[in-house]
Amino acid sequence: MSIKRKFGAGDVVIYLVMLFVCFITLYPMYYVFILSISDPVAAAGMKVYFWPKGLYFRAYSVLATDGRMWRAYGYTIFYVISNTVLVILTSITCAYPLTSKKLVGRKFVVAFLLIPMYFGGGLIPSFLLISKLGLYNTVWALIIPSCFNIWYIILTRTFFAGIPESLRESARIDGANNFSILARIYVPLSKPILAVVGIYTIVNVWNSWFPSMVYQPDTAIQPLQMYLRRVLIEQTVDLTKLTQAEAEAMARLKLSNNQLKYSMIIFTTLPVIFTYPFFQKYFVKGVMLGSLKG
Amino acid sequence: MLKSLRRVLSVALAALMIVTLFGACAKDNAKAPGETGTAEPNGNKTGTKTIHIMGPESSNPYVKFAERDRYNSWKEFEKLFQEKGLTPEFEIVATDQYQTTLQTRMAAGVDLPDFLNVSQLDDSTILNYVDMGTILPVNKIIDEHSDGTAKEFFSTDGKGARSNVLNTAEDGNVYWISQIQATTYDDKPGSTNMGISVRKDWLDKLKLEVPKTTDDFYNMLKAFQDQDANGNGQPDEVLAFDPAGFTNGIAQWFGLVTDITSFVIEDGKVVSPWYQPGIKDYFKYLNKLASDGLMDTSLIGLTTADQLDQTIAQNKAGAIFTYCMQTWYEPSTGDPDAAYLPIGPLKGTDAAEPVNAIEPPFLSYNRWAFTKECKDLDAAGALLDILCSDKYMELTQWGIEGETYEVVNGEKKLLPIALNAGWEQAGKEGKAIGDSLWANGSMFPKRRFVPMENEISVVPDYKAEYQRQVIDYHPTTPLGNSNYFPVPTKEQVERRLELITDLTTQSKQLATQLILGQASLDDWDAHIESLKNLGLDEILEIDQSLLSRYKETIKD
Repeated sequence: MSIKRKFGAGDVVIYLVMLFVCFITLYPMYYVFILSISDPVAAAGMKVYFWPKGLYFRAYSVLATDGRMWRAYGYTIFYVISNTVLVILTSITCAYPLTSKKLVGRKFVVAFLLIPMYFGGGLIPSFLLISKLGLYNTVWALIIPSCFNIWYIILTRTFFAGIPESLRESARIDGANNFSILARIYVPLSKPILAVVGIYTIVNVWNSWFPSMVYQPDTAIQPLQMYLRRVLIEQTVDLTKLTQAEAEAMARLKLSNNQLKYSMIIFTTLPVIFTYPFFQKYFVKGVMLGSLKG
Repeated sequence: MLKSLRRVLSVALAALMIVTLFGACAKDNAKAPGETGTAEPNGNKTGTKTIHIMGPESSNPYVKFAERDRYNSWKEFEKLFQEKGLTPEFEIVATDQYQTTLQTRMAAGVDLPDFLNVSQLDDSTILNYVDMGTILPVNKIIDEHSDGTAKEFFSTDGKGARSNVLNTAEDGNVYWISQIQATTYDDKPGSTNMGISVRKDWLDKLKLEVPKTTDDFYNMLKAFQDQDANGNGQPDEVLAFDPAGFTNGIAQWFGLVTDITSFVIEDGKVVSPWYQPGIKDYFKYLNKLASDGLMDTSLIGLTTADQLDQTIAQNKAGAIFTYCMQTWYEPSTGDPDAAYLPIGPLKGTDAAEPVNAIEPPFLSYNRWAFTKECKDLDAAGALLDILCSDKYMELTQWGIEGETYEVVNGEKKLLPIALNAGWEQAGKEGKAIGDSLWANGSMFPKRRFVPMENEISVVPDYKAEYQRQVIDYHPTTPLGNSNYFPVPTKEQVERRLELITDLTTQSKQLATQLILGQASLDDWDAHIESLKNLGLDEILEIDQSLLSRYKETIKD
């Protein structure tokens, strides 16, 4: 026998509120999309609201044939994959020993990890370090410094601590060493936390542009967000602050780039949008991490 | 077997990590042409002096320094380096990124080039680097390592004399060189100006006369709205400009100078618009425009140009503030008949004569300096001689005869491909003058001594006519003081920095409130007192001392 719940006024209100929230969440993205395929004059004149006006795909064709954009895309994928793999690797390998009560100096190590979470040297000391290590203006400037994330180590350690100690003990009795225990027991059980760490890293690296701006003057190895930033920055110059020759140069650049920025935004957000659904099921578990015991 | 496989894997992983560590330490300079941000040797030859030069990529959308090898003018420029036995290594940084790169590298003091564009450092920062010895004195390099070319250029009678005066610091040294643009008209110093431009096509459509007075201007704006000049059925035609500052065209109708402190060139006395006699009538006029809905008040206090561009793109801007010879706003209105006609200066008040806001006929701006990393001062001297040579000037402002300029009746005339409107064609055909390719605020300073007749000849007749008429208009006030203020002392820089931000904010805020009617002119004394308390008089004193110092040295 099925129990039918009455559809009351409260439900109507809830549905309306949720529809409104969906609308204000989705509309900006939709708006950018219809601007990107609308006629440039209509787009610049803000005459586009719910439907595109005058279909215009030239911006996409310009982007599709822009080698610089695809190169930036390629480098971004490289940075995302390498950072994600390294962050997961370092999180696992650093978190596992910290779960062992027999680790000598465990409290010291934890404190050593926690202090840099609150204090940093600042931009210039970081710059000096990157420069002296020979990473300046190389791809490694965006990989090596960011492959070690203390917050994710703590997150992973907390998750590992929730795995029963008895599993480790019984594995030891069966002759497994630490590598085997980590690889065959802890890692398979840690899919939720690894998915959370993975997706956070993917999104952070995908959206990252500041380290590239500081450490990579070479545009050939810069990620996609720097390219997008360049296109957007070129739209915001105040022409009255320039000499006449400079104002004319910037005005011509703004005109030619006006539609590009919308298409660029779509290009840069699509991969992340497509990636999220694959990690969706892990988020529910990840959100509740550490909140309930037993 | 599994155990040995794991062992092999661990060793391989460890080896890979070590190899990548060494890989990260190696710098790859072998980039394809057009790549930016790496040092690009320009044909290193044995026995030549190498100089590492860093600068932003040109902001020209079509002509890029990274693609310089495509241009004949560059090939001619390269010969100058070869004659001096100089091998330049270029590091081109994207324009939007240059400031960050410059600031971090200068602050860290590592990876410094020999010669670089330091325009994006403010006075205080650059004087600190001077004190720290990070930047070398250019005058000493010229005195000891120049073959005489640079010395003559910057001498009292040389073309760079005025620029040299402006760049001389408190200690008598010159720590940077600037780019120079001197405009003439009819062989005399001539300037373009910024002012109010109105929609000529709307005037024609509605059969209105060109405004000759401020009342005419008001009535014109009213007619644009009442008679729906843009034909969209809405009374949305407006004056689109930002009057929070005083560089807006209409302030000049009331005799007001262009900044919180500036001067009338013919007068030579630094004043503040807040003290000038036309100020109250100015605010009354703008308040009337705002109250009657003839001005787009959402543009007051703009921090970016997006909103202004949007108003123009919506075909609502019946009047704007811009360069009188501009031609770049018309296409963005979406109206094929759009035409902006410059007008004025109109007489706004009996209390003062209207002033014309001009781009000074002699511009010395932006900065290039040598850093402490420049150990070969002979190379530095050779570079300065190149940048001060007649051949460099010719390549920068004229390019190649037959390609970018022609000689007509003994006078040089730029071909259309070399003018601003021809950049796209120049980029496609590989024919560009140095001003577009290497001197557009990028790698090297420009040396531009070009008659205005060239630019006037390619704009529409009504703009050309206006430019010819207004060129002799007096009195004038400069757009920006930097071309008349030499390097301040450190104390002046620091004191000015302490005061100017709050003062500018208060000035803009007060102006906005007076225009919108949120503050009353009856409380004028209190308003002025608030500005005095923030140091307005002190800023006036500092600026006057700078102007006086300049005028003592340069006798016009």
